[in-house]
Amino acid sequence: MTWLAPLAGLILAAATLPPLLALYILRLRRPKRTVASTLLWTRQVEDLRANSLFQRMRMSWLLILQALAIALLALAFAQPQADLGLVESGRAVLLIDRSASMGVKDADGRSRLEQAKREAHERVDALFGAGLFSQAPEVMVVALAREATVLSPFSTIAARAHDAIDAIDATDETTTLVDALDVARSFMEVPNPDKQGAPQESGVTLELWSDGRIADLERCVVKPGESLRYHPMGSPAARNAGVAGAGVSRLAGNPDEVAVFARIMNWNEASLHSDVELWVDGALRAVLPKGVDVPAAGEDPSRKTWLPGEVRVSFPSVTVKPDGIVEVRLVETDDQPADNRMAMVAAPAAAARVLLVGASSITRGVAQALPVKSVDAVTLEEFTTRSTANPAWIDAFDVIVLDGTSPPALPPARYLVLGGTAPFEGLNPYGEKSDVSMRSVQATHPLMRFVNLDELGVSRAVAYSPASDVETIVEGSDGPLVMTLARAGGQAVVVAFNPLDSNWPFQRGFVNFMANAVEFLAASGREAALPTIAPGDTQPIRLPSGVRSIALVSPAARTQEITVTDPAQTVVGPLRQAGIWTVRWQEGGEERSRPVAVALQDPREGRVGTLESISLGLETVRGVQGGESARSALWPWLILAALAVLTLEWLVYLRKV
Amino acid sequence: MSERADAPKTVDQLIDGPLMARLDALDVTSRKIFQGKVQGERRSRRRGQSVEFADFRPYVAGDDLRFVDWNIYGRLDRLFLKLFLEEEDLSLVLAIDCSGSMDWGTPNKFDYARRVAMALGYVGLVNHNRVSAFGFGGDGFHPLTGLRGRRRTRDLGQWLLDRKAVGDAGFDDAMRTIAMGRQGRGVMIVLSDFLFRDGAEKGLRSVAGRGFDVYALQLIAPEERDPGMHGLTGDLRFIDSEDGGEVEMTITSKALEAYGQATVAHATALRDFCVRRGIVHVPVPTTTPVDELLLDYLRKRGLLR
Repeated sequence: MTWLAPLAGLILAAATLPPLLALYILRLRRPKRTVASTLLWTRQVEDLRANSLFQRMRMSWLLILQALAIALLALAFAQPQADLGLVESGRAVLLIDRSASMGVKDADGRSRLEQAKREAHERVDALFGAGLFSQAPEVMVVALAREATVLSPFSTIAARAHDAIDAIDATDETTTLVDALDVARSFMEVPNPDKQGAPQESGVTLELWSDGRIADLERCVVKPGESLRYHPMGSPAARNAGVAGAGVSRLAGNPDEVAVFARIMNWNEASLHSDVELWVDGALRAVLPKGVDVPAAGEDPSRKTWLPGEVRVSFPSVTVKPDGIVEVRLVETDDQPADNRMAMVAAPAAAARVLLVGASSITRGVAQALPVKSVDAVTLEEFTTRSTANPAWIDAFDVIVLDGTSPPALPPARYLVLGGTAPFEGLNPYGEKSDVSMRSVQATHPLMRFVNLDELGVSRAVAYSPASDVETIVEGSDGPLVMTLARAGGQAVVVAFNPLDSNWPFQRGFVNFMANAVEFLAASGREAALPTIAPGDTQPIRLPSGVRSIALVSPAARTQEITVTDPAQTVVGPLRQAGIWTVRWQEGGEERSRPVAVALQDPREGRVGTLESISLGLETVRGVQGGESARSALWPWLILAALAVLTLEWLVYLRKV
Repeated sequence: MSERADAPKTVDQLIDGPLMARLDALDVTSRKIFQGKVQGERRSRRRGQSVEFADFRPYVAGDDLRFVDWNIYGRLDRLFLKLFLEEEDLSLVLAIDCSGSMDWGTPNKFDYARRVAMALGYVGLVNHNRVSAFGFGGDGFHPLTGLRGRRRTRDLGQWLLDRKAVGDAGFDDAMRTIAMGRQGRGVMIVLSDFLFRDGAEKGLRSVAGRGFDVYALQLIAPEERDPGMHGLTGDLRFIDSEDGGEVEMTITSKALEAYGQATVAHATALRDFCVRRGIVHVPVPTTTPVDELLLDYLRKRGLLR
């Protein structure tokens, strides 16, 4: 039991109960009436001490009922609350997870997000239901996913918090918390212009509704003045398996056919046998004849980490038309159906157009040997001049190869950089290294298909300190050697060394690498060959010049009109739901479209069992159940009881009179 | 005590001409035949000197020879005395309660008592009865005795007008004083509300059986009969009109009911006592017109004829 305003109740009781008792102890100031004789009246009067100030306290139901009514009113003024989960500081940040794992439907048929929103509504009601005389709480609503979204800043209006909670939509993104805490803290520190000079308000309760599967939980800390209440959503026993990744590659001999491979993961503690299907453009095209057996998840003794069971599968080649939708489906009924499918857009088989800038004879020879549509060569000066004079000129090329050149800036396009200092943001070149050898390689990356770097020797390479969003494909003994990165409107594959400074040109892998790189970059740049992205990602699209608006259609068939300001650097998204999104536009009176595949690719979101406690730094926060957080104000009931007692007192009075 | 506007200020306001005319035909009667001071118009059980023969008895030495029946002596040669009924006058005593409790009610009990006393006294005077009036109350004991004949009507009226209803009644002392100073026998009429803290029994006992044919006229104001109907409700402080004592009361239906029971018990106790002592108890609501009281009510009770 919590008393929000005990002083008010005490004051009321002190101000009313003693006078009431005094009214019964002190004699009433009654109007005087002269009668012939009091002889006959005195026989029924118990007390004739008319001149005394006080009289004996007598049993009176009226007094008892009146005192009871006042006591109830005093209790109501003290505003008792029936719950311990009160926000001490009056400020609360409601953090609601809307990641993919919150879409899991538990036993009651409702998703975790729906349950979280319901509990959050109840919490808001409890916070704002304190009473008439208490300070209104300040509530902020933040939706968690890959990014934190503030849906309602600190507000003392309950309806605003309710509207913000209602506005939370499910996504298929991962969950991050650091962003949300940073955003919430930034709002906490905003000085209130109405309270200039007042001491900074401190202290806030962070209310987190989540299943605990938060990607960056280990980087979160609860700072002094903050308290975290974790409301676990869902069941720890939730089951899930899904398609964690998939790829499509065209067969070299037959560009119309593609090979499809996929990675199936099992996050359950029991092994799994399931069928896996391949669908192309909505039609079932292949089924693995024996299904797959996915081992159980469990602790990896060598790495001392929990790992899901995993198996890789590949399908026989199938014919896919340009822009065809290839989808891998795991035929499994589990609690998280969103990751049981992964869709991709097959790249068209059209040959690429290559522009060589400052290319050596070796590079030029290799390029001309590739199965490409055309190969042009210009000097760096010519490239700079023509691209500056006519930016659309570079749209005529699918891949631009910078061979040993270091231009100061580059317009958005798809580049293969061989040596030289690449001017891309995030690469951070800081010098040169010599005598570099290969240390590790992502052998499954499309760039490294049929590329063997065991014999690679590099005499000189540019030293890079790449940012986190730069993917290192080949790690050298002294830094990255091959990297890939995406920037607005383009993509690049950066080789940190000039092939002429290595023995690579004399190996067969160099030719394969060049072919892979041209195919990789050309596929990523073509209009109908967008890569599968993760939920929450944005997708840059190079649109034909003249396009002024596009329509973005979600997997749920909701259409959003977007105005295009720069067709060469249009970005759509973030695309929060997994599935096939479609970008549509009008070109020459005809409707064109481009599919964009979005799929869950983070294995952490696949583990959907709810955590009953979470650890932030050194602090472990145990989950509280929804019922514990409810706080109900008792004063309306006390007022009703007081009214009932007063009604009873009135009836007693009427009977007496 | 302030003078009330409706209080009678002249004798004519106590008794008017038409009432006097109607009362002329009445006379006070008694259930007993009394011996008076002078020969009156009533028979007495005492043998006397009237003309109405009563009996004979043998002569004994010392008898008045004037009453010897000489005709019987002539025939029987024996002396017999001739006895006659003696006629006596009636003594009418009016005892008026002049205590504070009488000065209350609408109509006022004291005014009503004075009007009734005036009417009864007038009846007594016009019939040549010996009329005495006694007023007792906080103002003291005021006797008026020796009135006889119609011409003393004004004296009686003025005496009544001079009375004030204040203070305690002193009923016991007043009755004892009246009983000790009585002159002859007669009819005694007590006009009071009988609201005495010490009770009326002792006082009535003083006069009962002492030669008085006592009538106790208990005057009751309408407010006393039904206080609830006369605006008496809520939390009140009652002031006793006689001694100024205060009583705090919350007038509820229960309280009114209890008061009604107390009123009935008080009247019943007075009536029972009167019956035991041969006193005629007559409860008189002050709403009863005086002429109706005398011409109808008291005639039926045998006080007037």
